[in-house]
Amino acid sequence: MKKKKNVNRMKNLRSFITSKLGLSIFILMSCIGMQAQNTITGTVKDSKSDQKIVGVTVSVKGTTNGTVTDFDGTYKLNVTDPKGILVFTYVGYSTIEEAINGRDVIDVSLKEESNALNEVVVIGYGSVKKTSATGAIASLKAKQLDAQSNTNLGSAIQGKVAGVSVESAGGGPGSGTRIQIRGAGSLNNNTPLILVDDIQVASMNSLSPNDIESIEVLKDAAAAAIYGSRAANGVVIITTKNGKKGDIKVTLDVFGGVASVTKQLDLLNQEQWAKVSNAAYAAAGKAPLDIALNPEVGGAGVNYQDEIFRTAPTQNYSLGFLGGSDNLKYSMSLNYYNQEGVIKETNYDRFNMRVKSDYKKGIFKIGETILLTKEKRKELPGVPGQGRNVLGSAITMIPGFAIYDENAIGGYGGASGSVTDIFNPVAALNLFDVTSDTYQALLNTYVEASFFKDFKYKLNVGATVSEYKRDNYTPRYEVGGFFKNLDNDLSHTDEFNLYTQVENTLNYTKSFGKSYVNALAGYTIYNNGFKSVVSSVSGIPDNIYVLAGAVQPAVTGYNLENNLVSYLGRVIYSYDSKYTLSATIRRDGSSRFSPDNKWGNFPSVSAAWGIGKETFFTNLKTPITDLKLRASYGVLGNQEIGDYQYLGLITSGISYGVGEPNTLWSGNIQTDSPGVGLKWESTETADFGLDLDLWNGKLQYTFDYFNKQTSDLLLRVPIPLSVGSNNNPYTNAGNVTNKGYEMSLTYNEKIGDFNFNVTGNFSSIKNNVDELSTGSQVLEGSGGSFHGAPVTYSKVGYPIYSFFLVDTDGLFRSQAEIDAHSKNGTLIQPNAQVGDIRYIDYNGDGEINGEDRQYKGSAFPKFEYGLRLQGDWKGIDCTIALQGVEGNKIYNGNNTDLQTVRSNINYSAATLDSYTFNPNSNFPRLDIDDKNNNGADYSDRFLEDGSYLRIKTVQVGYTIPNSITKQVSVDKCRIYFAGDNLYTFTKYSGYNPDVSADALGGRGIDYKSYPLSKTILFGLQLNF
Amino acid sequence: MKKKSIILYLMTGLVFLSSCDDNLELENPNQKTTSSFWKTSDDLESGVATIYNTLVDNNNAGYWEIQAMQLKENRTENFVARNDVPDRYAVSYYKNDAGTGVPRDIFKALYIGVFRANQVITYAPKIQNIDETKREQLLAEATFLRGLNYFNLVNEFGAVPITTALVESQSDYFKSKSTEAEVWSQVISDFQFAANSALPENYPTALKGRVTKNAAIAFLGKTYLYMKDYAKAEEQFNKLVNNEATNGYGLVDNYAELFDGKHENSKESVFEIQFSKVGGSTIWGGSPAERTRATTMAQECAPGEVGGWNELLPTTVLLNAMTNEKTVDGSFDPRALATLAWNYPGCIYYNSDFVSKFGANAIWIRKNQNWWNNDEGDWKSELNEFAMRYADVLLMLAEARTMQGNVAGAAPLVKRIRDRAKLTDISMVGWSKDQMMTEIMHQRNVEFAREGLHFFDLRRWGTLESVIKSSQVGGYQLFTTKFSYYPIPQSELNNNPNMTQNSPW
Repeated sequence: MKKKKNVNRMKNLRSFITSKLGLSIFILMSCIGMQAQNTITGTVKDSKSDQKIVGVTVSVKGTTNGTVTDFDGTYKLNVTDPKGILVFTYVGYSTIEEAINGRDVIDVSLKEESNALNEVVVIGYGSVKKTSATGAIASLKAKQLDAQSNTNLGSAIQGKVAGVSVESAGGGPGSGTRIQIRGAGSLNNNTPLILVDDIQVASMNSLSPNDIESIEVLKDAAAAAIYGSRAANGVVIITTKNGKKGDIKVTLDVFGGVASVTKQLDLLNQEQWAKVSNAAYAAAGKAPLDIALNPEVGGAGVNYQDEIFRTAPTQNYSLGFLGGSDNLKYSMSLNYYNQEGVIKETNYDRFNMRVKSDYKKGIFKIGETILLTKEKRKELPGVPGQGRNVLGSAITMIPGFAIYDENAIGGYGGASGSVTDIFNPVAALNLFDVTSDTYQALLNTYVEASFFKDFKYKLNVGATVSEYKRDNYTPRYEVGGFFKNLDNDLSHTDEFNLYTQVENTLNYTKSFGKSYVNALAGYTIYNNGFKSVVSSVSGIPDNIYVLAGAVQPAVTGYNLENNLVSYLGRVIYSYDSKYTLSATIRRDGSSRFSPDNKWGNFPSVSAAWGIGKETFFTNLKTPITDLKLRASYGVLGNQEIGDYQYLGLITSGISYGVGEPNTLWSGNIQTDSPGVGLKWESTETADFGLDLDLWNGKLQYTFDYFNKQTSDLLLRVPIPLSVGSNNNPYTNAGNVTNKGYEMSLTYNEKIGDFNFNVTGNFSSIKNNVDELSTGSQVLEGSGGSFHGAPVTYSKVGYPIYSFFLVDTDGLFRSQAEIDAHSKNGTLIQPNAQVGDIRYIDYNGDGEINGEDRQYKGSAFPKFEYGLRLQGDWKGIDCTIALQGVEGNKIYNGNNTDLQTVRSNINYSAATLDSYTFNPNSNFPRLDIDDKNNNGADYSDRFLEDGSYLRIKTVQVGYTIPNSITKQVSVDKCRIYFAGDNLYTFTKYSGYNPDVSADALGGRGIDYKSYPLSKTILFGLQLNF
Repeated sequence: MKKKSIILYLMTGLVFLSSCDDNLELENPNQKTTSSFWKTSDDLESGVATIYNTLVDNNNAGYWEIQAMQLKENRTENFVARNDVPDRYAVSYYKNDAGTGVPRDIFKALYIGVFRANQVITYAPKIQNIDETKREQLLAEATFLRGLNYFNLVNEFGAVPITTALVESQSDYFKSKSTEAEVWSQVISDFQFAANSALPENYPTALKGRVTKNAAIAFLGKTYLYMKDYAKAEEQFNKLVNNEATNGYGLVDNYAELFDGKHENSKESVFEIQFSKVGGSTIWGGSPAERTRATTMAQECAPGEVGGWNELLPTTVLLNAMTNEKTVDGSFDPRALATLAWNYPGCIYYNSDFVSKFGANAIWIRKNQNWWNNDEGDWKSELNEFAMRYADVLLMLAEARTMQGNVAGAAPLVKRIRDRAKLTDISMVGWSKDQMMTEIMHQRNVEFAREGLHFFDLRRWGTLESVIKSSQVGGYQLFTTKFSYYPIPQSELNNNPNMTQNSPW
C-alpha cells in the first residue's frame, strides 16, 4: 500500500520534469526563429594554456542577443549590427570586449583573473577588496554548497568552513541544524547572527540552498564589530542570487531520491529478552515476570524499530530566472521541497518564492529582496510514559507486547502488568496528530544615494514576519494497561513574530595618491515583537478536528517585545594596498537591561600588512604570489537573556483546592528572584591571521590564531536553594576562554582536460571556564538517563559542561578482588558480587557515590576538519565532501536503559554476552535489584569516544556535450547521482555521533535522540 | 534638485534618531511586577494560596506529593521502591548522597514555601484598606505555613539556614547555617504566633482545608514532642483533647472511611492536605494555571496490572505487623484491611479477585488508592492526605504522658485507638512506662502506616537502626545512622559559600 504511493510519487516527478522541459524548449525554439543576419564564428581559448574554453558567454553589448561556446570552444552568433561589440564572459576570467568591425571570425584568448586576493569580500555594511580585509572572514560560493544534494543550508556548509561547527538538530524531517562559530563563548546563547540580504533571521533552516549566491562568515571581533551586540557569536552573511546583466537565464534543478536510517540498534527479540529478564530476576531471588513466561506475541515478538522506520522518498524542484540590463538586474526563483520522514507518519514540505532586484537611476539605486516561505510539517508527537519519545519507546518496548488490540479504544495494544510504562510507539505515531504550518516573509528594501562624488547614503528598511500554527490532536485511547485518555483533546498554538529594522548609513570613500579611505557612520533601530496564543479543548466529539462545538476552549497567551538602538562608525585607511588599518565602534542600547545598564560600547581595531607586495619580497622570486598578515582586537556584546529579566514578576495561577468539596483558590506570587544589576556580557577577541597565495592562485592558504575571552557571562547562576527561588536569576558571573587556530586550503589544478579542486579546513579550539561567580560554584548541566543525576558540570579550570563521572575499573573476577577493594579494613563496595563493576573511590572516603566523580572529557571536539574534492574531465564531474570531528566524548544515555537490566524494558543485545552468560565477558552481571549499582548513571560506563569521519556528500555527474544540447537550445544539461551522509566511520555505538542539544549542558548527551538518515538521489540540472 | 532630496533623506534619518531612548523602556505586558502587586486584601489572600500550593505541587516536590511521601515510607522497613527512578531508588536503598536529586528537590520546595510565606509576612503590614482581622488571620496563616516548612526542613535535614526576610542585595543569597536548636525555636515561634492569633478554631465548609488555630496548637505540641519536651507537648495537646465538646474533634467510627474519598475533612481531620481535579488538566509542565490539583500518588503506588507504576511496595514485615493482633471477633484488624491488599480469603482489589489478578504472594497498598475502581487509569487521584489526624494527637498525647511517667493517663487514649480498631479491651493497669511505649509504638505503626510518620517515629524513639537492620528488607545492609537525615544537597553547598555539610555526612 505504502510502496504503491511512493511509486506514484516518482511517476509524478517524471511527468513533471518532462512537461516543464517540453514547455521550456518550445519557448526557446520560438525565440530563435526570429532573427537571421550576419553570422560571426570564433574560438575562445585560455591565454596561458591555449586550451579551448567551453561555456563562455558571448553576447552583443547592449542587447539580449548571445550564445555560449560549445564543446570545442567555438561559437556562432548572428548579429544585426556589424559595428557592435562582442562581450566574452566566463567565471574566473577577466571579461573581454571586442568590437566586431565587420569581421566574420573573431577568436579571443581569455585571461584567468590573477588570484583570489583580488576578490571582493562582503563585510558589514559594505564590501572591501580581499587585500584590504583585516578581519577573519571565510567565504563560500554557491557551487561549494553542493545544493544538488543538500536540501538544508546548514548541512550544506557543514565541514566546509574552518571554525564553524554544524550539528544536526535531530533526525526529524525538516529539523535542520545548529551552528556555532569558534566554540561556545556564552553559557546561554551561542547562535551566530544570521543575515539574509542584510536582514536578520532566526535560523537558516528554511532557506533553499539553490537560492544562495554566497555565504560569508565573520569570525573575529574586528570583522563582526560593526554588528555590535548581536555579533558576539560571529556573523553569517548570506547573499541570495543576484541578477546579472545579460539575457534571461533559466535554471531548472530537479532531484528525487530516498532516505533511510543509517543504523538500527542491536536489541533483543522476545525469546532473548525473556532469557535475559529471567536471569536478572533469578539473580535477585525473584520470580520471573508474567510477560517473560507468557508473551502476547510468540516467537521473536515485534521488532519495534522496524515498525517505526521506513525508506522515505524525498524530492526537490528549483526553478530560477536571472538577468538584467545596465540599470536593472533581477533574479527570481521558485523552490519546492518535500521530504517524507524516515520515521513513519512524519513529513516536511517547503515552498519558497524569491524575488530580488536592483534598479539604478541617476544618483539613486533602489532594490529589494522578497523571500516567502511556507513550511508544513507532520511532526513527531510527544509520547507519554518512560519511553520519552517515539524513538525511546521503540527501543525500550518489550517485543512480547502486541502492536494491536481490537478491543481497546483506538485499536492499539501496549505494555501492561508489572513492567515499565512504555507507550506503544506505533500507537503514538498513528493516534497522535501534530501538524504545523509556518509562514514566513522576509522583506527588505533599500535606497542608496551617491552625492558629492565620494558620499553614499543608504536607508535600509526591512522586516521578517512569521506565523507558526500548530494543531495537536489526541483522540480517546487505551494503550495497554498504563495509558488511557478519556476525551478527545485538541490544542492549537498560534505564534506571530514581527521583526523590523531601520538602518541609516553614510559612507565616504576617497582615494588620493596611494591612500584610500573608507568611512562609515550609521544609526540603526531593531524591534522584535512576539505574540503567542494557545487554545485547548478536552472532550470534543469524535471526528471533529477544529476548535468548535459545545466545549469552551481554554486559552492562554503572552506577548514579548524588545528593542535595540545602535550607533556605529568605522574607518578603514589603506596605503599602497600594502598597509591597512581599520577601527570600528558601536554603541548599543537594549531594552532588556535596567535603565542604569542599558548602554554598552563595543570597539575594535585591526590591521593588515601585504608583505607579498613589498619590493624586497617580490625580489625573492618565491612561488608565493601574495602574502598578507593580519591582526585584530575587539569587544562584542551579548544580551540574549530574554525580555524583562531585571524586573520582579508576579506569577498567577498558582493554586490550591479548598472547601468541601474543593473549589479552586487561585494565587499570585513572585516565584523568582530577579537579576540584580544585570549588564552586558562582553567578548574580547584577539586574532592573528595570515593569507598566502602560491603559484598565481593555484594554492591558497589561510591561517588564524585566536583568543576569545568572554566576561560578565550572562547566565542563570544557581543561587542557593535556600533562597527559595523557583528559577535562578540571570547574573553576570564568570569568564570563559576559547582559544585555538584554524586553517583552510584551496588547490586548483588543470591537467589537460582534467580539472580538479581541493578545499580543506581544520580547526582546533580549547575551551576553558576561568571564573564562576562564587569561586566554588559548580553549574549542573543535564542528565542522560530517566530522572537521573546530571552528567555534565561547569567548573573552573575545565571546559564548559564537561563530563564528570565515576571511573569504572573493570569487573570483580573473584571474591578476593572484592575483599581487596577496601579502605581501612572496610569493603568499599560491600554489596558487590563476582561479575559486578569495580568503581574507583576517587575521594578516598571508603564509599562509592556521586562525590567520586572526576573529569572524564568534554563534548567539544579537540579538532574538526573537512575536505572537499571536486574534479571534472570532459563532461564528467565528481565531488566528494568529507567531514569529521576528533577527541570529543558522547554519553550514551540510551545504554543507561538498554544495558542496565534493572527496569522491565527491552535491552541491548550486548546483555546476552554479559557476565551472567559468559564469565569472560567485560559486561557486568545481570541483577534486577542491582545492589552494586552497575547501572549507576554517574559512571563512565556509558561514556564513549564521539570522534567520527563522515562521507557527507558524493556526487557524480555528466554534462551532455553542448554540441548536442544546443540543438534543443539548452545551454547546459547535467544529470547526476548523489548521496548525502553516505557513511560515517566511528567507534560510537549509538545511532549517530552527531548528537546535539538545545541547551549547552546537554551537548554530547545522546538520550533518545533521533538517528541521522542517509539519502540517495538522482537529479537533473538544466540551464537555458 | 539633487541636493534637496539628499537633505530629505538625511532628515528621515534624523527623525528616527530622536525617539531612541523611549524605545528602551518596555513594560512587561504579561505579568504584574512586585511594585504593582501587593495593594489589596485580595492580593494578600491570593499570596497565601501559593504557600499551600507548595505542599502539593508535583513539579516542586511538594511535601505531601508522591516523591516526598514515597521517600518518607521507602526509608522504613515497611516499604521498598521499584528500581526505576534512580534517585528515589537510591534513597530507598540507602545509597543516596548529597548529589541525589529528589532530596534536593524536597529541600528546595520547602524553601520555596518559606520564600512565599516571607513575601506575605513582609507585605501584610504594608497593605492599606484591609480589614484588620483579615490581615491578622492571613499573617498568622502564612506564619504557620512558614513554621511548617521549617519543621519539615529540620526534621528531614537537621541544621539548615533560616530566612525570615526578603532578599535585597546579592549578598542576602548566601545565608549561613543555623543550628538545629535555632531552627526548632524558629518553628516554635512561628507555630506559637499562629496558635495565639485571630485564626478561627474551625472553618465553615467552604474554607475546609485551611489551617485553623487548633491545627497550629497540634503542630506546636508535635514540635515539643519531637524536641522531647514532653510537658510542653502535653500542655498543647491537652488544649485540644480537653475541649472535644466545643471543638468537635473525635475519631470516626469506621477507620476505612478515612481513606475512601467520601468522608474527607471529617471530625478526625486536624490539618488535611487537599487534592481534587480543580485547576488545569496537566500534572507536569505547562504554566502553573494549567496544572491540576489532583495527585498522581495513587497511580504511582498501584500495581502495573491496573495501570499503576509499582513505586511503593509494601513488605511482609508491614503485613506481619498489621496482622499479628486480631480483632475481638477474630478477624483482621480493620486498619490492616484498609491499608493493604493481600492474599486473604475473599480479597477483592480493583474489582478483581486478588490472587488471580495479582498473584498469591503479592502485597499492595489499599490506603489512599482508588481500589474501588477497575484501575487507576487517568492519572489523577483526588484522595486527600493527612498532615495531622486527631488519632495522631491522641497517641502523641499518650506518648507525652507516658514519657513523663503518667502511664495511667495514657491508657484511656490508647484504649480509644484500640477500641476503634475493634481490638480486645486489654487491661493496661500497672503497665510500666516501657510496656506502654511498646504498645504506643505498635499502635502508631499500624494506625499510620503509609501516612509518612513512621520513619520519624522510629528515629525519635532511637530504634531506627535496629528496626531496619533486623527487618532484612530492601537495602537494610547499607543502612547506617547517617541515613537518619538527608544530607544538605550538593547544589546548596556548591552555590552557597557560607554553607557546610551536616555531620556525619
